[in-house]
Amino acid sequence: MKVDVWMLIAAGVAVTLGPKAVGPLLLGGRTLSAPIQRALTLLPPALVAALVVVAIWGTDGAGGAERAAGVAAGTMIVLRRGPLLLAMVVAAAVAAGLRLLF
Amino acid sequence: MNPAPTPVIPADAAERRDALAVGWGIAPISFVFSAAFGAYAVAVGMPAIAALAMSVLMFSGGAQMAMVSLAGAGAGLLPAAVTGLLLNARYLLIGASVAPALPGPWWKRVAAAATLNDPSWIYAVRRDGSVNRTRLLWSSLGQYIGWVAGTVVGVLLGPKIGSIETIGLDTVMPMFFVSLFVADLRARTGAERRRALRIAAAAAVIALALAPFAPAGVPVLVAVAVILVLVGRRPA
Repeated sequence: MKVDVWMLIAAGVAVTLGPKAVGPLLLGGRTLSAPIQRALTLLPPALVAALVVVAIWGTDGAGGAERAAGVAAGTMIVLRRGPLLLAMVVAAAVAAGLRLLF
Repeated sequence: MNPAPTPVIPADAAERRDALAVGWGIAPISFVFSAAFGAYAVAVGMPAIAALAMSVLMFSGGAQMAMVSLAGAGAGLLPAAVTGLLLNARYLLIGASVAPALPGPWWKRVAAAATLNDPSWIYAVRRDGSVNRTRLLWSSLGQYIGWVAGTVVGVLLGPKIGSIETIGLDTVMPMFFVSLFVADLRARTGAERRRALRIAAAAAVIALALAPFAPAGVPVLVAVAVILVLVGRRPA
């Protein structure tokens, strides 16, 4: 590692706390305008859907197919209202199994 | 004659207890992901104590992983910081969404902001877009403890865990986001659910289209920002 780890941590804290705190600092306790409020009702599905696809395919391309297959298998369990932990074990097992085979 | 008073748990205490339970429910997932982070950090040459300090002070999985991975690959401080900033840029939106629920002096608002995380926020957002403060803050506690404990185990077992891909643990985060997505859809019905599905599909397509070209964090941010502008301009 070329960089000083403590400088890296200080930078990490700044780039994490900064974006998190801007909204509450500037708008804390105020009510938002109607268009913003309306948009925010649909922020969760939009954000989570984007996070899902980027978490599967967004990271340097490697292993995306196996990851997608594993997540698809786990999703079946979630849709059947099975326990999340089981879904995660199945997803990991499918991805690991495919990597072992191919 | 008055009926005998039935003992009731005050609503806010019950809500706090539920929120704590939700946080503990997610804690194992935080733990596994954080253990992977800890193992990875020591593998790329970060001192164990620094990896732990990072988890204690940042509590931001994606940014921690990305910054350590860049620094481990020989990148300088600036590229690492910019990447972390982009990955966390979605918190500008989340922060604006929670702001009305966080009144009080500025230092209390900053302290509350430091606890922000995706699952707690999704759990706390009501159907009208407002945020339940109790749910938001108290559901983060279990996750934070799981997060810190995971890094401790990760840096200790690091050399023995090997690659997270080999044991399929790289599916943990996307699988978890899928479960949040399904839970969000189940809380909606009829036309509202179909609308949420369309919005989600559009956001996913935009994020996926940008992923090969844009730096980490940008695809999600752009996808969500585009969607919000479109939704906000049109009355529901």
